[in-house]
Formats: sequence, C-alpha cells, structure tokens
Amino acid sequence: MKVRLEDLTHAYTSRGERRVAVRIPELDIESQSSLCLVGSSGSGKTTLLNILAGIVVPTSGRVYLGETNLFALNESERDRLRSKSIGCVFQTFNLLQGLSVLENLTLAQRFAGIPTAQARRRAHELLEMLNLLDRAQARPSELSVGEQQRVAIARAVSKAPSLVLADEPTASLDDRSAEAAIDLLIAHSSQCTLLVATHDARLLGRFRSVRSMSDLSGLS
Amino acid sequence: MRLDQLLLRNLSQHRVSSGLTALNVALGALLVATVLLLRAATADAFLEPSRGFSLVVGAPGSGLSLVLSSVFHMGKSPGLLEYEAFEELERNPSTQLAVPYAVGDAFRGFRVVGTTDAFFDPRFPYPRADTKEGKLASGRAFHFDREGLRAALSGIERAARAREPGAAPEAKLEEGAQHAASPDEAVVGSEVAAALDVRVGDRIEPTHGVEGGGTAHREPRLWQVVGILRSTRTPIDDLVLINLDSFFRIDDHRGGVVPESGKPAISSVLLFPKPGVHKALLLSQLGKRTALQVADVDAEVRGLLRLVGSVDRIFFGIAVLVVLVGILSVAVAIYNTLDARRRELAILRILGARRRTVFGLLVGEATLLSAIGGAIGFAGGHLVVSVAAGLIERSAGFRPTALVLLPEELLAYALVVVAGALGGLLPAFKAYQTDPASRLLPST
Repeated sequence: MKVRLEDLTHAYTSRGERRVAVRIPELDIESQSSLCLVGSSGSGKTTLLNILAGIVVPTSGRVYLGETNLFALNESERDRLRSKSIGCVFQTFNLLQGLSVLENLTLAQRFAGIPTAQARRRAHELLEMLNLLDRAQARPSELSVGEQQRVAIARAVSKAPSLVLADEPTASLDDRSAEAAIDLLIAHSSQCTLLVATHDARLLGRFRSVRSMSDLSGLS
Repeated sequence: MRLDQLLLRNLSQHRVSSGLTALNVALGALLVATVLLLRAATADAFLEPSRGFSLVVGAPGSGLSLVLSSVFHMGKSPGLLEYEAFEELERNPSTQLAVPYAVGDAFRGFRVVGTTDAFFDPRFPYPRADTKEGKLASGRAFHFDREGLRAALSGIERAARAREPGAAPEAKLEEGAQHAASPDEAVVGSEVAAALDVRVGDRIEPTHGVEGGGTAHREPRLWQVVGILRSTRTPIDDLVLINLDSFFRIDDHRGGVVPESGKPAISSVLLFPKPGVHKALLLSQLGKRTALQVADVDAEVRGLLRLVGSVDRIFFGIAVLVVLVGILSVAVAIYNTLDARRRELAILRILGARRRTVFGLLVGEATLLSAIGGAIGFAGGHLVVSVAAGLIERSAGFRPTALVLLPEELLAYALVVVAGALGGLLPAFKAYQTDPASRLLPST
C-alpha cells in the first residue's frame, strides 16, 4: 500500500499555548517499502503513526493510503479500513491480558472479517514460526518480554495487512530480543509497507530508508 | 475468537466482582420470585376450595364472613337462619341443589357440620366424584332420615314454645323428649382421619363450640364413624359431618332457634342454581329479603383477594426496588471498572473494533450479569418456597408449590434482563466515547 502525506499538520493546545506536534509538507512511501522514522521524544513520531492508523484526526492536510483519502472517510469506515489493512505494533505490546496468546491473534483477525477456522489456522502457523506454539494457551503475563513482543508482531501481521505501523517496537527489549523482533517484523512485512518509529540506534542499520521527523518537517 | 466468547472472558477475568454483582441482582430476583409464587399460592388457596360453589344463604350480616364460615370453615357464622328457609330454597325452581349447614360443635379441634345427604350428591363440588360412593375413601355415607329430621325439628319447636312465659304445662313436658330417629352417624374428612387416626367403626364425641377447647354436652352422645371422605386438599378435609337430624337431637342444640321467630335454625345453605340465568334470578329474589342474605362466593372471594392483593403489592413493590438496586449495582460495578478497562477497550479499537462493538460489549456484559443473577434469583425463589412450604402450610393453612413456572415469572425475568441492559447503557456510552489514541501511548 502506497502512503502519501500532503500538507499534514497536527496541532494541539496545552496550557493555552498552541503546539504543533506534526508538520509534514509532503511524504511518499512506496508500496511494499519500509521506512524508519527517527526523532527524539516528543518529536511527533507516535502522533504521526496514530494519524496513519486513522485514530487521530490531523488538524489539516491529507493522508492517502493507496488511493483512499483516509480522512475523507467517516470514523466507522476508518475503523473498517484499519481492521482489514493496518497492523499496529506498540512499545508496550498492548496485548489483551484476559485472553490467551492464541485468542489475541484470532481476535485481531475476527475484526478483519477472517473466518474463525482460517484465523486459527493462520495463528497456529505464525506461532509455530515464532516457536511459540507451546505457549498458545498461555496468558501474556506468563510470557517473557521478548515473547510478548513476538506475539504482538504476530498479531499485527496475522491478518496480512497492507500497512504495518510499529511504534518503538524494541524499546523494552534487550539486544537479543530486539534483534529477533526486528528480524521478525521485517520478514513478515515483505508483502506490505512498513513504517517503524524509533529512537533505538540498534535498528538504524536494518533499514535502507531512515528519515528524521525534523527532516520530514523541512526544519533541518 | 467470537465476541460472545470475549464477553464471557471479560466477565471471568473479573469473576469476583462479576459474581458479587450478579448476586445483588439475584437477591432482588429471589424476592420477586418468592412474592409471585406465594401470591399465586394464596390465590389458589382461596380460589381452589371455592371452585364449584355458587351462592351461600345465611343470616343477614357480612357476605364475606358468611362465605368464610360456610366455604372455608373459618371464623364464625354471621347468625342463624330458619330451617324453613332451606326447605323453601330447596323447592325454588331455580335451585339445582341446596345443602344446609348447621355448625357449632367440634371434635378435638375439627369442626362438626350437621348436614343432609345432599352433601354426597355428585353435583356437590367436593370430593369430586360421579357417584355418592365415589366421594368416600372408605365406608359409606351416613344414614339420613328426613322424617327423623322433621321429628327433631318439631321437638325443638315444642321445646321453644314450652320456654315461653305462660306456656301450658303439657307443652313444657315435651322438652327433652326423644324422637324416632336415624342413628348417630358421622363421616370424617381425610385430614381428620389422618390427624386423629380415626377409622370406620370408631365412636367420637363432639363438644360444644367451634373454637378453643369446647365444652362437653350435657348429655354425652357418641357418633359412630361410618365413612371417610376422599382427600380434597380443601377445608372439607378438616370436617366431621353428621346427619342434620342427629345434630338437632343434641341436647344443647334444642335451644337452637331463631330468637325472633322461635323456629329451628341452621347456619347457612350452600345453594347451587340451575345453569343459565337462574343464579341471577336467585340473587335478585333473595336480595330483596331482609331476614336473610345471599352471598355470591366468587365475588366475595375475589373481593378478599383484592384486599389481600393490596398487601402483596407492597411486598412486590419492595422486591422490585431490590431488583432495581441490584441492576444499579451492575451499572456501578461496570462503571467503576471502566477506568481500569479503558486501555483494554482502546486496544480493541486499535485492532479494528468499532465504537458500537465496544458499546455492545459493555451492554452485553450488563445484560449477561442480570440474566445470570436473575436466573439464580428465580431458581433461589423456587428453592426458598420449596423449603418453606411445610412451615407456610402449618402457619397459613395452605401449601405453596415451587414446581410451577408462572407466566408472571417469565415476564419478570425478561424485565430484569431488559433493566440490566438499560443499566449498562451509561458505562457503555462512556466506553463509546473513549479516545483510543489517548489511552495507549504517550506522545513522542
């Protein structure tokens, strides 16, 4: 899925002062490519990913996912697009603690409209690839941090999305787990567009395209 | 994973608070079920024994007390009715069957009723049977001799005249005279037989007075038990029936006359009109008489139930309030857990759940909690009634059954579930408004 941003601005008011969180005059990300976004804390990386996920409405500008103008859609249509086409990975994993590993994977597919049997099959395949099949019935709290992030990545890619957004996917992980997680993310995102926001220097060498937020805003 | 599984998983994740919340609803539902079952049992207790009875004629006074004393055998009869009135009613062209009752005695706490063989007529509603013999579990009906009754009645009239001031000495001699008569025979109700271990062939001695200990008659007399009635599960099971002529031959009853006329008296007449307009005709004819009153059994019983109903409406109102408090606790419990769950709900949104899905999940939780609590409560209500049935029977005289599912219960259960769903609307609306982005990550 090709991603294009035009005159994108997102501002908010804090203590009576207007602050611009994101300003990107123009950005194109080709379909099935990957981009690493870097920037210090507060530079707007997460806000940008939330805008691309359709859960934060920008103050102005346009976001095209493929041919679709994301914010020309109503909220329900954006929800549907997100459920089918966008996978999200978070720094804190955001696994549902009340559900098993397997259920976390199948629920995401359920929202994408994938039939239950097919979703279970896909979940089992992913868990087998991740060497987590024996942990399928475990709760997230019973997994190590590295295992949790692998499950979170598996959940994001389980519905075969066109766009994967990963926000600081390795920030909570040690070197070995971080390496494994990013390998997994890149391997399973080969058929989709991957956007990773990070300030983890360990990841920079893994991406051919690395852009900083200040660079994107034209401030550098 | 299906959404209903997710809903169940959410409830099981908070199983202690979910359980306590459902218990709150269950307590209210238990009260509602108990009140409904007892109300139905009370209505049955009054309606069932009165089914088949039509009119009761007795002395002027309260129609309700006439019905209570003659159909339910409770309390005192309003007064005395001339025996002649019974014969007149028996001859009335609108009458199908007339059964006289004369009360005033008891046998070891059970009421004695003097009556005729009309009591064993198949048209008399209890015990239900097509034949006279079919009404009896064992033995036979008492022998009734109308000539003997007439002789007893004329003896009472003569005795009354003898007591008048200035009466002829020969008339006074008649007092206490014995008359040709049918034997002193009794038929007892099934409960009397069971409670007192009375069997056919036994001899019993009634005492004077229907309440309290009673006093022995001046001339001790024994009645031979010749039959035991089939069980009816009505107050008839608690009666000792003796033939009316033997009732009038009891020494103390010879003074049983209507004071104004000096004529022999009975307590009441159970009147069964012919089908069609005859009941209305009898009501109209007898309604004009000042020396007697006629009570419509059905109207009096329904009036009584309305009276009792106002009390149970209060209980029902309290039970409904308890249910509402339970439902409110469902809403409060879900609302209170909402803050802790906003992150989880935000994750669902990020995964693609729509606002209305999140809204539906919370309303579903409230509905399910109410449904579970309601089901436990209604089942508990049946259990309570079942356990307390014996106690209620001993104290109130009727045995409620828990082995019925009343239509009102189904309606009340549906209302509990709907109220639960409504109770879930507020927390669901708050969840609906949750902004997923603000709940998941700090801005970087």
